[in-house]
Amino acid sequence: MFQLYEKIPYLLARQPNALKQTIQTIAARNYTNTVPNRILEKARRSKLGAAAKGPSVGSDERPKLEQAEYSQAERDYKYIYPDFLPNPVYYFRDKIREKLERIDMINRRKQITIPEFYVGSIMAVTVSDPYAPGKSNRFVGICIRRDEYGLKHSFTLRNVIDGLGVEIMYDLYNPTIRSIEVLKLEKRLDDNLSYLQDSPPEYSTIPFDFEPVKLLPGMKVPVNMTKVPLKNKPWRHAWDRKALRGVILPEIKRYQHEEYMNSSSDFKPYEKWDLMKNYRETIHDDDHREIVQDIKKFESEITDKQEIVTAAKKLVRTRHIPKETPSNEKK
Amino acid sequence: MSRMKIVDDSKLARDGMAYKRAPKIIHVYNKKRIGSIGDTVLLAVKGQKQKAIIVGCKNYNRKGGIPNFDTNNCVLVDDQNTPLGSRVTVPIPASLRSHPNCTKLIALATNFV
Amino acid sequence: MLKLNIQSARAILSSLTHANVVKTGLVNDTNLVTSYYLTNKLDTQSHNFSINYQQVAYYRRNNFTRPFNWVKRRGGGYDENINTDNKEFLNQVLLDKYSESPLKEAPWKKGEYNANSINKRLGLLGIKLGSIPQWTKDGKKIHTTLIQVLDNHVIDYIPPEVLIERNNIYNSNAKRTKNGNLGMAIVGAISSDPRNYTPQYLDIFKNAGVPPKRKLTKFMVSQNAVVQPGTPLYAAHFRVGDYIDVGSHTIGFGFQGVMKRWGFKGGPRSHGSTKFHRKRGTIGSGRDRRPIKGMKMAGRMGSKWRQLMGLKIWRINNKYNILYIHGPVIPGPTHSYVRITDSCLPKNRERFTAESHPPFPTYYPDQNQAIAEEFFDEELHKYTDPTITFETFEVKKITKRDGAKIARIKS
Repeated sequence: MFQLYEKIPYLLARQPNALKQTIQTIAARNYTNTVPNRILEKARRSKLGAAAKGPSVGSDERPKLEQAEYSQAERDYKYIYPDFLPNPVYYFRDKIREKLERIDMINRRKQITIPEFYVGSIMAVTVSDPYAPGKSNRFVGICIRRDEYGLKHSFTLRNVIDGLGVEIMYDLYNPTIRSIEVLKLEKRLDDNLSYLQDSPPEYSTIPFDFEPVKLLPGMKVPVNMTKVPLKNKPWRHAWDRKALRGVILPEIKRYQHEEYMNSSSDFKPYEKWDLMKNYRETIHDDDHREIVQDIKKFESEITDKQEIVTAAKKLVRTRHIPKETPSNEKK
Repeated sequence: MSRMKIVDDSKLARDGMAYKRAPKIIHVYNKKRIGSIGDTVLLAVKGQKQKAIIVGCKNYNRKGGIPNFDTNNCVLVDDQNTPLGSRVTVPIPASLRSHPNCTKLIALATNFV
Repeated sequence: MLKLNIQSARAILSSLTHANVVKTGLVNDTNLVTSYYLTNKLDTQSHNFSINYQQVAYYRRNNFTRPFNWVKRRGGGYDENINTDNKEFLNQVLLDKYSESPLKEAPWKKGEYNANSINKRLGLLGIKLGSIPQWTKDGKKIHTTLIQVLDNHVIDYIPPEVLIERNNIYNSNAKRTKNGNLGMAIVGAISSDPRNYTPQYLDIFKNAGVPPKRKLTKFMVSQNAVVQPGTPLYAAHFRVGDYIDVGSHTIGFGFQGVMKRWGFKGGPRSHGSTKFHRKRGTIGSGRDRRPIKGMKMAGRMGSKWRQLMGLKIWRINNKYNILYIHGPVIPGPTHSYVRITDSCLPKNRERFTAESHPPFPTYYPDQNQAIAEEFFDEELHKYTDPTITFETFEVKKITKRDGAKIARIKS
């Protein structure tokens, strides 16, 4: 039913007859046994069934939200703690579940320091293993991708050992993880580096005794502009059909043909004019304020790790990855 | 009939990888009939049948902490699970340490991931 | 505009379900009365006879006809011309009415657990919130679904003697009442505004003294587990570590083809196949000259009643009344209604003894003694604990028999 509520104000203004059709189509889906999210929030807040109701997110116990504008440090929380952002699809969301998830995540973060990292930065993870000789196991690699929201958040590392590519996925809130270190903090041109599987091994080999690189305060989070050449086919995925920036395709005429590129499912030229795209992929400001309040409270509570918190605030972060510098080779 | 890479030091492994046909899985000794890390397997290598143990998979594992590799790897063994070669050339997953099939195999490995 | 006294408004609300409100002459402004319900549609004669409580249970969808005693739920509604001052005033009166103690009669006698006979408690009506992962102390990952128990009240109880009479009249199955040993308890979830419902539906809640509920279910209950109508139910009704059965409707997909509904292979994409890409093959023909019954074909997919049995409760949150239940695959979309009962499997029943059993007949909160905010299972890892290190873990020697067992020969 969530789709209906989004469409109502638009349809009432423009096409009142179309509203009937959408109701009929959604009614055919038989979500009859559910409570709409809007009514559920109202029922949690209402005082009618006072006897059996525990306090909830929407009740009077809810702390008042600060209406003041964000500082730059608070605005950067979505880069430092991207796992705190909920799933932007409204259908999967529930406010109380998100709140309980956040409590668990903060309790876990009080036990170990989980640093800020991006796709493309070089990391080391040690996991406790009952059968290993030192009861622990260490792995070093590039962060290839970050998946999922909340407690389910995970990241994968990749490295080449003895000429064989190895990838390991870790859950961020797995309690068997002893420490997560960031050896080199940097970004890449793409958000998903899975194409390193089909590139030559020297682009993803990292020695296990990699020395950590420190960033000075006031510096920007650096962007690594290297472009990776791909091997010839067969590939694991059709990389030539995805809009990737950090890839050099092998020189075959077919790839430069426009119709071949346009036939892919990832080719979406209309997204330029999609006004609702940003709305769909982000959450509302009021929801974000609740998250910011929880994080601020958490940062004030860890007194022994204040140096890490203050050092992280001094870095400069931007969403936009810079465009390539125009090459001088062309004449 | 998935094609495997034999990660072993024995003579049959070297000849089998250089042979015109790649080694393939004929049978999985398992109730599910789908092989994963630590399962014993029957291979067709160089025109003859040989048992092997799977040591690494391509398959993307959602469990967490278990590695997946760029190739499907296996090690040749005989009927008593003793490996034919004297060395394993690639890293193997650390979770095999607790696996009952791989007690003799682990002594040959140098790298654990 | 006219403003109401408190006394006269209470008189209206107390007699919500009677037809004579207008005749009493307490109020001259009839618009106010019609804002509660439409007076013309009242039928005090017939609707009290036998009410069908099966609002959630399974029914065959394709040829569904409502039973004759089905109560119409939605009706009444607001009068749009009502004044805003009066509207706020009426809201306040509603709160005053339902903030009183819901128990109308003296408290009933609480039953006790009897190890020798049937002990069948009532269940809860929850709402599915989604799934999150948890970890055990061994380092294993578990997926759990969260189910909230929102505003659950016992609403009615029908003793077994009445049920036996009904069985005789309607020729329904007597096995469901275990031959007259079980009664029927009705439980409702999510209390809401009474002005949205028909007076026939409001009559159900008259004895319980609680606001009308959005959803109702029934539970078959043994006679020592009877709970008085009007008592609230909590998530602490269940214990951590016990097993439960869960039932709800699956996600509805509408009319779907054979490939999505049954996972058929379809036809080839090319190689000269025309109009045969996502179809099934033959339905089958032979001596009978008809397809066999239950043949897999295209049709309505999903939205069927499904049950999962023997799911473990890992964790209970008493502040928000939330159960953490094993498994990510509880049927239904998010915010769907879920029916929860004690598991009927022997692995759950064997756990109960006369000394240790779940709160019987339900959990009654003590005002003097507050319970903990959260209950955890013994095997579950708490996030406030330090990281798992396996320092006390002892590695067992792996022993496996090599080769075949040699038979001893008698000497």
